[in-house]
Amino acid sequence: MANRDPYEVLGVGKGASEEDIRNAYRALAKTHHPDLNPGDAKAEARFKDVQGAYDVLGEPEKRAKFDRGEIDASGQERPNRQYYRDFADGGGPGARHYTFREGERPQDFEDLGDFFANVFGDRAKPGAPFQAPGGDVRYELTIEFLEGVNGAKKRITMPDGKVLDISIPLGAVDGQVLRLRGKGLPGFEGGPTGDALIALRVKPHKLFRRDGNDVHIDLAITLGEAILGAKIDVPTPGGTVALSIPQHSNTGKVLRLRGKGVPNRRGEGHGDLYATLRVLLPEKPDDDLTTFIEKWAREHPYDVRQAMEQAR
Amino acid sequence: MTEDEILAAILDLHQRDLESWCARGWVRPALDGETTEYRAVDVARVHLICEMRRDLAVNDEGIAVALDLIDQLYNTRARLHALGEAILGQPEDVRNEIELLVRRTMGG
Repeated sequence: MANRDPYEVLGVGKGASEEDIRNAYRALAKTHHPDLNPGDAKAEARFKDVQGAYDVLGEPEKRAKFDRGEIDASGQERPNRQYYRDFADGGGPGARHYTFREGERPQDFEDLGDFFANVFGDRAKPGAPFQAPGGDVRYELTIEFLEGVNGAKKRITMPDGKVLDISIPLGAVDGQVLRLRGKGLPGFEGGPTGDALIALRVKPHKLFRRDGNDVHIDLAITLGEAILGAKIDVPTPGGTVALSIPQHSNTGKVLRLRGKGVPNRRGEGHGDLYATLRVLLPEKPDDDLTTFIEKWAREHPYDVRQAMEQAR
Repeated sequence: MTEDEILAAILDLHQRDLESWCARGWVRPALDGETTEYRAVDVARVHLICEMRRDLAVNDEGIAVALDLIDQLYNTRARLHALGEAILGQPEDVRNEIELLVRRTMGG
């Protein structure tokens, strides 16, 4: 690759500011982007030159190195990739569902003459039926927390009485949108039906909180369990699991249950469950405990607020 | 490519953006029940959208307009391409006749 001076490629002087360089790059990228120049075979090479020049000059550190002669103008090699025009141009089958409306293919025209006459798109002849795809319809679907975690099948009835069966994928998140093809509004004059877009709202759970694929839970334990250790049952999104509490476990200690969080979307690899311990005293005062602690506290003072004092 | 794969393959592509582009119909991967398949053409289109945003500094409303025009452009080019192929398949005298008519129409 003949590496031209990147300043020359971007058409800026050596003293150009970062903003000048960015603006020059944007203007040239707009002009030379191959997908915006389907008829120009050389656009790709020009676009790559411009990108290569910006790779060097767009980062102040690299630019300084280039100015000091420490690196040449080759920048970083960009991997060859396929541009959108490689699929879309010449009516290739790849992009037909973007460039042509659904069902709009030469063989579908009653008269091939229509196809040629309409080189400039479906500007229908006056009086000709106006064909258009149906609109998309949008719904919000509220699901339970555990339905989002474990996936679910839901059935909803749309305002027009049609029934839709929806698969909630594993690990669905609040705000995720599911597209049901062909479940929207009917097309005009034989145009394709639109899609139904279902935005998911996930209800909060009384016990569980989600953080990505991990699930957090507050776990109450007794004073005895905290001091002596114990094996206790813990609810998880996938069912109850036995958890060992080590001896002398304090409030705030976090125990991890590996793989007991949200299943991965493809069903492989799970998030983890994190249980944050909270030591709870008995609900009512206990005479034995009070008597014991009076003596114990006197003989075993310990400072728990030292860090707080220092932070003031 | 699955959604995870395309997110891993394209730097600065965020799941939230990709999902909103799909919801707006800018990208239309193949959906089959719970799985989403991004074909090569979908990946190329995602690249194009990313570059419009990052390199060309086009905002979302601008991208909607640009994609609509780009789709129309390629549709028209596909029709012209088919027309050109059909003309090239004609005998020479027919081709010459067409060329003459085109020049006259375009004022050439």
